Amino acid sequence: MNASDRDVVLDVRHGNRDAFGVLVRAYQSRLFGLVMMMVRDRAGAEEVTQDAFVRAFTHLDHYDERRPFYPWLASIAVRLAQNWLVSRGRTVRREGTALESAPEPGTNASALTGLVAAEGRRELWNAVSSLSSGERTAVTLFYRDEMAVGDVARALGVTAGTIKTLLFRARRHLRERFGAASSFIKDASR
Amino acid sequence: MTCAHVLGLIDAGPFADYSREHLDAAWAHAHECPTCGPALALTTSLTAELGALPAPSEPADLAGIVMARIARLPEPGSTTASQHAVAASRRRDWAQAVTALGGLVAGLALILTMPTGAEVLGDFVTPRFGAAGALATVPWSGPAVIAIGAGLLLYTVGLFAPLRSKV
Repeated sequence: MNASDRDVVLDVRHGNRDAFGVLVRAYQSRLFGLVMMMVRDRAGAEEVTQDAFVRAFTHLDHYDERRPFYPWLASIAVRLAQNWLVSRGRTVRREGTALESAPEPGTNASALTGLVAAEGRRELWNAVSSLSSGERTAVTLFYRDEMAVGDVARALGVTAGTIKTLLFRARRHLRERFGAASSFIKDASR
Repeated sequence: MTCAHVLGLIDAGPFADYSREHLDAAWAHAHECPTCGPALALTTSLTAELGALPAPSEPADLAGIVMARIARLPEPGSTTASQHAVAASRRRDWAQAVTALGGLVAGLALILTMPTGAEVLGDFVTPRFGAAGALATVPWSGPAVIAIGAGLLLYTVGLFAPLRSKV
């Protein structure tokens, strides 16, 4: 956790609840992206992201300020997103059991690419969002959010070994997907 | 060094659990192999791109909505129905503990100061007034009376304390 986040948390704990807005503004984009990748539904992602921030605020006394703030916030969001998915019967509760799952039926990953602003990277978002639930969540947390394997494992409630397996499979699936298209290297080098 | 093995190492990336020499040999193979070379280049490029994985833009007023919800939450010190319920439950737990302790103290004090069989047999009051008469004839000591009294008081307080939470 950087010094300013810690100061904000201490400020909120001393009763200045408006100070929490600093954390919301700092992490809303990252968190919404993570939740969107998990639930693949914009309305659902909005609901879960809001709930995650409110839950973080009401449980701020459980947060250890010696640790980074975002992984703790992300673990709350992941649990809420998992509950959201379970409540709609789209996936099993625990990410670890979704290792073998194919992309869930009823979702349209390509439809979400229209929401990604960067035109040249929609293909990558589309590819990642078509991975299994556990794979795409692990990829987002590990690569995009730069969380340590241990933190990702805690957020998903699985072991570090499971996260490594998820990342291994995700890399393979992405390599096979873009290897078949063989256009990614050219696109990425642009 | 087979291509399947090297591709596995490429997919494992930073988690490939092999010696430095083994990995160097694998990368050397990849740089010369027409199958593994492009796979390594692709995965390296993909990994770099994943670090900047784009995301849909968040709703315009997400922060405002969140802060409005937080503003509607009750103040930490305020009393809510759930806090009342928790407090009442705690009072009931304490009352039960006090009742048990009081009963235990009073019971022990009675047992330890009860007259022996010989004392009862030699007593002329007991046959006429039963157990109450037996208790009346016991030569009560000060500490015993205090212990029994305190025990009965605790028992009574514990017995009626939960009623307060229902008011």
